[in-house]
Amino acid sequence: MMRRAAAAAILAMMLIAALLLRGESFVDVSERLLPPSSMHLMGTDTFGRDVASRIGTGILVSASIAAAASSIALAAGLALSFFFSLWRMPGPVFLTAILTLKTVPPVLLALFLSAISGPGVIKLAAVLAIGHAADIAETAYSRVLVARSEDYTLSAIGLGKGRVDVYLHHILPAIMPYIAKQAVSIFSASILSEASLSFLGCGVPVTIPTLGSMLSEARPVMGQAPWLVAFPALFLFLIGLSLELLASGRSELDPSSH
Amino acid sequence: MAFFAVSFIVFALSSLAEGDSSAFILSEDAGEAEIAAYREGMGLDDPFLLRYASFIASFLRGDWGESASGHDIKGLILHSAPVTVSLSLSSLAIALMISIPLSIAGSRSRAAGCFVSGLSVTIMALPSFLTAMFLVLLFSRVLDLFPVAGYVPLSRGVMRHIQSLFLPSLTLSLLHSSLYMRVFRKALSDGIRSTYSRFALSTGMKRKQLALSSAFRPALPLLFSLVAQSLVSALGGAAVIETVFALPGIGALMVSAALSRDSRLAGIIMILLSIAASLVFFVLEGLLPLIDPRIRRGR
Repeated sequence: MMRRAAAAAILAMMLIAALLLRGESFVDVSERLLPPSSMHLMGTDTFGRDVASRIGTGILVSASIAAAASSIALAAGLALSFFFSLWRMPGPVFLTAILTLKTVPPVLLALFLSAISGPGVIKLAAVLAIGHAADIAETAYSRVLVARSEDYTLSAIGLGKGRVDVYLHHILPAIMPYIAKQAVSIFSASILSEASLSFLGCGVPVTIPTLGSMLSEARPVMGQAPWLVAFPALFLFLIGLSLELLASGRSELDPSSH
Repeated sequence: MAFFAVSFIVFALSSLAEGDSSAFILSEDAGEAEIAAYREGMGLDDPFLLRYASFIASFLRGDWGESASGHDIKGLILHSAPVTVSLSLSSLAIALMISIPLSIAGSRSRAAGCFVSGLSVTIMALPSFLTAMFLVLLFSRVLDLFPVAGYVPLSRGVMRHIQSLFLPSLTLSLLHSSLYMRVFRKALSDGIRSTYSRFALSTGMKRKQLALSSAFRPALPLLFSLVAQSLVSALGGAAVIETVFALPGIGALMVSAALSRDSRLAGIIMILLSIAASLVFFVLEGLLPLIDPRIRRGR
């Protein structure tokens, strides 16, 4: 409990810091590679841009991409679970479809799409959501199977309650913790994948700063300007760590963990 | 089955992009007639399914066409596949060497458990390229033990081959082992706390024996599935690591295809990797009944 609260607090602070730091950064060649000072809190990069404000914008961009990806995945998970509760899916066919999706790692899919149509923010969010769709579909499927064979669900159906009613009152509460947990882990996986893709230059367009692309620009000058690597890396690590702590462990929503 | 699904999706998506390839390849001032002639020549006017069939046929014949820069795709892939295979296998070996002893230690004492889960959470929280950069700093800049980047093929000395692959495989293996440790340690402690191992303890079984038979063995199938899963992600997901360490593998090829907008090369790589992944899962399904009597007896 403490651990999760701390993680959530770090995330909230990070968001506030990002909002405060965010700002336009200008190319100023006379101020290249300056170390951290009171003027430039985290120094300047190869083009003389202020690192702090770029980090602020970068965090917001990464977070919104990840948020979009995980909410698409969440919506897909809920929709799928509703369909599963209406009809009995032929299990083997469905599981084969999931296995097919699983043979393609999300980063690979994103690279392929980037080969076809170039980088883009919305495309990236969609690709990350599709790449993780197999996981959430699998969770929804197995949890709905469990929930609809529970006695309370069967008796509700026996009493003649409508499908939607049964879904909302008996199946949804039972599966929600699992789906929500999956959505959080998709969020953190998306943050990491987005950073990797931007690091490779295949993520968002180069004009938009993200933590990944900042690190990739900083790599050649790592020796002269260590702050260019240190600050984005530190933020990325803190975000990853707190999301990891938030997603691990049993869900607070899960009544069986109390 | 998976092959047809993936190849169909790849083909459908790249044909969406290919629709404009006449604009790419012909010069700016090509007239309507020239474009039509080009499309005719490339077979772009045929119905969609017909083009798909001929794509599959030439793929199965081993005729994979040319990349956008005019190289033979088959040659490129045959050239880079050994690097990726060698990288994934060595990283799996290191991952198992790290994670099995650590998860056994972690399931036995509380302090070790704390250390192990701390380590695995830290590694999971970092994207792989950052881990790679830190390892390079530590091993190449500070300790000066291994080359920063580059690849030496096996034919030019075993020692130098291993040296050039050590840091990339260590990075990948840390990534895999953090996942193994988390899942495997849980399975081990579940096994130790189970009723059957309590029963075994009460019959006077030695602790060492118990750990092997009632904790390690039930957790083994899980470990096998994890290894298969990470082999799949290593084959495809090594893109980042290969780029950071300048290894000329499949992943790096995929990245350069993505950067140069080469949809044909990227599509072929994707189909091949998904075939490889299906093969891995297929082998896993064959292996699981052999090591797990519960599956063999159809439970």
